[in-house]
Amino acid sequence: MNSNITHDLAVPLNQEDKAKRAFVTALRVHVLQHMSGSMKNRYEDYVKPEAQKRGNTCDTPEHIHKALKSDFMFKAYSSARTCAQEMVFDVVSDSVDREFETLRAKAKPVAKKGSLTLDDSVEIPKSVSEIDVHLAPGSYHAEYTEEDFATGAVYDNAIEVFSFGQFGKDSNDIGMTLSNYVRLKFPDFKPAKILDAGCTIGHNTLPWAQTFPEAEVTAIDVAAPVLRYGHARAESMGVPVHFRQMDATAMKFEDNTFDVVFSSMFLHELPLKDIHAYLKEAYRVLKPGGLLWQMELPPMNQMPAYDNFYLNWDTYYNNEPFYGTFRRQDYRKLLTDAGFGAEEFMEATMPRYTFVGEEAYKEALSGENTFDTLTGRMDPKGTRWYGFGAWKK
Amino acid sequence: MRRIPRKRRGERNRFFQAEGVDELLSALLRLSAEVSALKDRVYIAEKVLEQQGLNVSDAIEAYELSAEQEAELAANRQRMIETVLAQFDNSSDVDDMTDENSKIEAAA
Ligand SMILES: C[S@@+](CC[C@H](N)C(=O)[O-])C[C@H]1O[C@@H](n2cnc3c(N)ncnc32)[C@H](O)[C@@H]1O
Repeated sequence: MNSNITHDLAVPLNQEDKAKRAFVTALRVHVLQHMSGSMKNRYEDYVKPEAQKRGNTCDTPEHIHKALKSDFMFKAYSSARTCAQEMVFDVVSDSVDREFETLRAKAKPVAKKGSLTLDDSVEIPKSVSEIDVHLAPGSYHAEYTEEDFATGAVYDNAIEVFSFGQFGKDSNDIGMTLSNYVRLKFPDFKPAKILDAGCTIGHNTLPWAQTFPEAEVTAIDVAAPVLRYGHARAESMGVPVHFRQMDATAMKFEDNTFDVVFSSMFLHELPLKDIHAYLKEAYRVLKPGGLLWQMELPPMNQMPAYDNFYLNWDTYYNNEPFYGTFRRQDYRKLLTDAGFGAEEFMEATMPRYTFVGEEAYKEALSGENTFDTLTGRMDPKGTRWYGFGAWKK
Repeated sequence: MRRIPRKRRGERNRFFQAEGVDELLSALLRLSAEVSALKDRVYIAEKVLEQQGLNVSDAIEAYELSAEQEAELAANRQRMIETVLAQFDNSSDVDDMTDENSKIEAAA
């Protein structure tokens, strides 16, 4: 297995790392494709008709969950998927631990293009500090040594194994997909200042600096170790991004600062009250005429019940406690509650830019939004990203 | 050196009713990862030797390990057992880390 990580902080992989990463990748593909397929067949052929006989209509994800919970195939899928998730972090932690000192030298670059501003008065929200989010030991913020960056290094390596390459080279496909969406969809819009909220290691921030080279790009997160790593990673790639430790629900920026405020896979990890607080802040720091955009999981109201059940597995079993509540929201209302006009609401499903290429991407953007089993989910057959946003008038 | 904890905080989800089944599956999959990595390595080793014109099967059978080599294999074996049995082990990583840290402090 060859790594898709191309920057200087890539962990040197020995044969054992490569072999184990290849195994865990293969295991995840097996679980998500083969076992999940068997679970669905079992549901359609046996579990659903049996449940309906007992009066369970199976028309909501909760009903489906209830019907499937006691079935062997669900247990096998869930147990194996949990193991595969844990093993992702295990195998990459082995190599990060081993190479820690080598990485340490590279993790403190002389800032040339961007910057790193940490602020230890930032309180880590309980939604990050109290749980090991998606079973990552140490969540995002844990530090085991002075000026630690290990959670960042683990994250960078883990998402590559986790996504079996579906996030593209340097795991930047969501950022490439969205920034190019904005460029192609709104050709007259020339953002000068761009903000990424909840950036983690900035893998989806960097594409903005590449797509809009004239713009100044800022990325915030509450967790210092991922920011340290993200900054070093960006510098090593020669991409100018300003990383700042800041709570997105209480930003330190002036009103009307940014032309674009976006986030990627951020809202679903926030408690609902923090989603509201962040969106209000996003509205405040956006200039009039500025664009808000969130790349996210598709809303429940657009998806068939079984797909909702399937996507919501994470909220029940993968330490993503806020994910289900988020997906139940009316996304338009989330934005109008924060001050955006209801008529300004936009949503889109997008093919992966770095996989399909500019021409096919352009063509897809003129088509209709499509919601199906490939929307917003990690599937070996491919995936389509979902996002929603609004202009601030 | 182990610095990053391998166990997450909180209760692990159990899906099977019978005690130990989820943990056994975990052990089995971890074991499979070890075996798979090992097979990859032996495969590569054979290819490397073949490249150098060596057919090693007979020599492998005849080989006698030295005490030092035995010790090295024993340590590997131990690590493998710990990995495979991770879910059956109550000792938390936090404790491990405290031990590690106090050792580091004492040495400094
Ligand atoms: C799932 S990750 C985001 C991943 C990344 N944006 C991507 O595109 O894949 C969520 C991030 O949000 C951060 N976070 C959580 N609550 C936050 C808050 N209130 N303010 C800023 N960052 C926060 C976490 O530390 C974590 O790095």
